[in-house]
Amino acid sequence: MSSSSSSKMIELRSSDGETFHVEETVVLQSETIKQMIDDDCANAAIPLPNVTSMTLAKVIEYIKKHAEKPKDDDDKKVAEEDLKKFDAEFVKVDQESMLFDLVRAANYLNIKSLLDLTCQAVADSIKDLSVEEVRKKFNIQNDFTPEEEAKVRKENAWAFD
Amino acid sequence: MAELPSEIILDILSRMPVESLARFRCVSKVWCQHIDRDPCIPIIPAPITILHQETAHPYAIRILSLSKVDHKEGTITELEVKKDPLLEFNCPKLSTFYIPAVVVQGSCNGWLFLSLNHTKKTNIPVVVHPLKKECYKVPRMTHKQRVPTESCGLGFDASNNTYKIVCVLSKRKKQNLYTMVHVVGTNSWRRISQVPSYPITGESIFAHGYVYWLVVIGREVPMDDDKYTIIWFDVMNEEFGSIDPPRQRLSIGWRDELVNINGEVGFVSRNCDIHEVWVLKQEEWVMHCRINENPLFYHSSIRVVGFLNKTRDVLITYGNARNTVGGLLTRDFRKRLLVYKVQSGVWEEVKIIGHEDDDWDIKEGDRGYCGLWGSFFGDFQWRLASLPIRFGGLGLCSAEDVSTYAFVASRAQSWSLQDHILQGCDIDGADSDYGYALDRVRMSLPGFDLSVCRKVCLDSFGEHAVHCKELPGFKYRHDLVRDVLYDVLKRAGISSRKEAPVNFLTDPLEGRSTLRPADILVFGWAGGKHACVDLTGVSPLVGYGPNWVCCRTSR
Repeated sequence: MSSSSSSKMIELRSSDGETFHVEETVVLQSETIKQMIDDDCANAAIPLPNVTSMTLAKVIEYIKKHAEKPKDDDDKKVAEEDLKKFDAEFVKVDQESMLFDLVRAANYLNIKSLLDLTCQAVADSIKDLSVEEVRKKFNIQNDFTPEEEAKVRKENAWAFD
Repeated sequence: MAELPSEIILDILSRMPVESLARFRCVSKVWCQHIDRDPCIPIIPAPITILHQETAHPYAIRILSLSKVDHKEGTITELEVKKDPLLEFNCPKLSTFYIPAVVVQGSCNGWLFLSLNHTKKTNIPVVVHPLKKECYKVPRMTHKQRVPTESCGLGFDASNNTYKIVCVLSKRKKQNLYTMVHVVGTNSWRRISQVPSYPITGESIFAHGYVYWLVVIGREVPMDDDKYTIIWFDVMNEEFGSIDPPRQRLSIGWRDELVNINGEVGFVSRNCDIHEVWVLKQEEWVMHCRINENPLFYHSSIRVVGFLNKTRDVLITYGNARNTVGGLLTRDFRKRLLVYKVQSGVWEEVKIIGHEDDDWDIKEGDRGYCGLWGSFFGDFQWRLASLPIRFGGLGLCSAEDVSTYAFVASRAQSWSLQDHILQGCDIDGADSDYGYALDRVRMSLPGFDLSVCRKVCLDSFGEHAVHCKELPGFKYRHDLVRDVLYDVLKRAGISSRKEAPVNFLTDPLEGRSTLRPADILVFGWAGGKHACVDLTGVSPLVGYGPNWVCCRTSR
């Protein structure tokens, strides 16, 4: 039977070998890890081969903040405001690659709220970009022939004004 | 930078405004596919939707789209009819005496709110999603009370991506108004405390999160010198209010109406030779044009349907009310289109191509024509609405139908009964006796307030007929008995899991389910062995037999 005591620590190992110790209650926000714990695979350190230590540190910062429980109703409102501010600051990362790493990590670890937050941040950051900028950002090769591209552009000419 | 998985790209794209999506179609072929994915309909630069009911086949109704054909300056405007209709459906034939008439009660982001009128007394309200090719029947308020479609409006709530129908009813002769709201996709109506200052009637116009109606103060039948007002309903906050129309009094010979002009509220005021078109911009009425010369003197059914292009030339539909053929007076319902060029003040006939001339008409009086034009009302809006729920779309919009049949299936467990019910079911859904019987059965059971799932498709008994796919890899069906049992175990500190995969003779670590997943798997229940609880009667309506729970141990 798996333990439900709050003090149990789970060990996570990032792709570059660094280990992090996080409380089980906190780490349960990740569906992937929750499933591993449920299946009793979490006795040793959990290897996360897809997540670098830098990204993992950021993710842990996020889930720790979101695991905080308000004491009473007054506190709840303050905490909600606080959490919103935290989320807004959290996605303001210096490097853009970091945001993409976070999206990938949230997807791999299956943390829905983080995935929502980061996907929204990516969407907001690219919605006003030009087609060329988006290609560059997502590292996408333009596989249209010039004629095909002209045709697609013409179909949606109104969106390019 | 490594690429993101495609489901993430799709998630990101689903959060973008329509304009960005249209632009990003030419990022790459894969992105174009993502955006066009569902449903796979080629993008029409700017569609007009029309309702088409042939006089020869009055029971078949088609929704077609028109797209503009490129034309050089000075030539005739041409519109091409798309060959394949967006949606084709049949009206149920309820009466041999009446030909069904379809009346557009409102439209919103490409969705149409129609009432199918069979007789004077029976009209069936339906919501149509032309791109998804689905027709969704609006449920009755109670088993006895039908929905009065003439005092309804359809609107879109952008805060949670739902479509709402609002209906204002009155008790005792226009006194005591009350308001009911229905969220499209659910099967019930709820009453809200807000009421408008006057009863509403007629076609509703949706624009920028508000539904508008033009009403005459104090009367149902307008008389000269009566005052007008425009009632609005804020779809998100569910509040009513009113604004003054540009012309506040009714005068002899003038006809005024609200129209939807490219997603804006338009007010058209006309008499025999003057046409005024106003547009509501930031709570101010701006006159778009005043047309003095009118070639349509004698046509009764004239309607402004929108702007044709960026110069905002006005598109008008009209029908010959009367025609003399061989000395006999006959009625010709055929509609034509005209465009008024704002800059030059010239009228021009719009030629419609791509359709056989003879069976071509645009159906039904003043209201049957529904024009949608421009970027905001494009396919993308529809496409977004048709995305699965997790991408912000409606997903399950016919859960009502599924759940009732699932209920019948579980209750009666009789194929022949289901067959009987389904046979008599068409666009109208199940027949009224069935609906009544169902209501009675349900009313005899205790009610639960089961807000376990925040999805709109949950029915009042807290069940999904279709599983609620919240998490990838899990199949969660909301089931009261199991959820209670699971909560009991959880609170008692007993480790358990919902819908756990169960293995037989395979490696447990493989994660593969060789048997049907257990409803609840209790870890280490007896002698270190796990116990499975499997509920075979999943509905609180049927769980009274002696053998509704069976337990098994595994491994």
